Amino acid sequence: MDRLPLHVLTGFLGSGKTTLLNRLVRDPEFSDSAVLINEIGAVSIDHHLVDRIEPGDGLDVVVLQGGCTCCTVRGDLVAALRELYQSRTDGLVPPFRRVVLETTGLADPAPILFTLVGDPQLRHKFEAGTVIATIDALHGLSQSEQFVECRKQIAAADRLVLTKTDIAEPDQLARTIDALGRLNPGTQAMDVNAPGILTHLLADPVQAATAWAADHVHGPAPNHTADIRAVAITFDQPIEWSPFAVWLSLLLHAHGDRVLRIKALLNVKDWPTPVVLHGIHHLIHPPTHLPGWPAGPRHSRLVFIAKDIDVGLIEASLRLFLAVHSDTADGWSNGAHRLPVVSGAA
Amino acid sequence: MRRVAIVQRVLAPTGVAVDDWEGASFLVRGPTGAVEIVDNLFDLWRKAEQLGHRRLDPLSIAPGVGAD
Repeated sequence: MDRLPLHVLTGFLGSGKTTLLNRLVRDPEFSDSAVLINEIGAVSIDHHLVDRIEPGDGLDVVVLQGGCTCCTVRGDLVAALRELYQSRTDGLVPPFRRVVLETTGLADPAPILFTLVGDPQLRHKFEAGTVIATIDALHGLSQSEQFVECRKQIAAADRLVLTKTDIAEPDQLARTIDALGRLNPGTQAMDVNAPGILTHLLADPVQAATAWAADHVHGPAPNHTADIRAVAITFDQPIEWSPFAVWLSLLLHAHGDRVLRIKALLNVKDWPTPVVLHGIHHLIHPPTHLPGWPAGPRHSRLVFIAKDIDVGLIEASLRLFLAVHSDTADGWSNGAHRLPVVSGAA
Repeated sequence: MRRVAIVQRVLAPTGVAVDDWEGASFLVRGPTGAVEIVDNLFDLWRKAEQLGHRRLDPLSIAPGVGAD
């Protein structure tokens, strides 16, 4: 049976998550959605807003109690998703085709996805969908500079949605977009008022990956003062899967807590079509095989977004590892196998 | 198995040996002979650090970097 996508709608306090959610669930195309709201505190304003949506339109709301998703609500999330799915199976709620989870404004989206794949029941019923982050065009720039929670949300997002664009100054908007490009290169920021945006936001993973692959991913401008930095890496030649997989597992073993996001379109040696890889922290989604290459050169492109890591080292390490361990390398005889991955006492 | 060969190279300086186990798991042997079976690469690195008493860090390509 097909698994149901769980989309995560995140964004800093006051950035317009609920407004977007209300629009989404009122759109006939997405009326077959179930909505989960992560509540913080005793009174949930967000919940009241969404709760006003009339029953019978295919929408079911479950409010998660217990505060911020990143630390305390994971058990509730498991329970809520199980209950929701059981209600669907029992015919107590309409047969929704997706779940949209609105997080609190301070939540880190990553643990939500860990919760999903870490639960033996849920992972057979739901799959990780799109992570959407709303950014206030008026205050988003200063919020991203001041609050690590905001930076993490931007870094984790598959889709960046700029809100309040109609009241922001053009210069302000441009600087915000520039900042988003540094935090999450390759993910185009979309105007919340753009036509067709809702369909684009919840596009299926293959469609989304194809769109991402078709975009040219620019290397981010250097930003030596930021705690969250990104690097875009390109390989002109096909890469070998085995050494790449070993290196990636080693990177995430050592630094998964600080690798916020991985996006990769890979030209894998001996594989005719592109492979797309997505990951958040230690969680790597199963590779997606696209049906074919977009127009243009068949380069591998990878983006790593990390916190408190010199991302230049990630690129240097990957290039060195692949050079040493690829089929054509003569690592044993020239001593290059002594790639220093051992760094002292455990 | 290609993956195992690469892992063996990586771990050679630590004294930890790795072999394929029935095509689906890894057999990890520490310098003192302790043996463990693990199912995936993440568990393998964790176990190799325990058995070899060395921290594994692919970013330690510059002196002192990556070692906390």
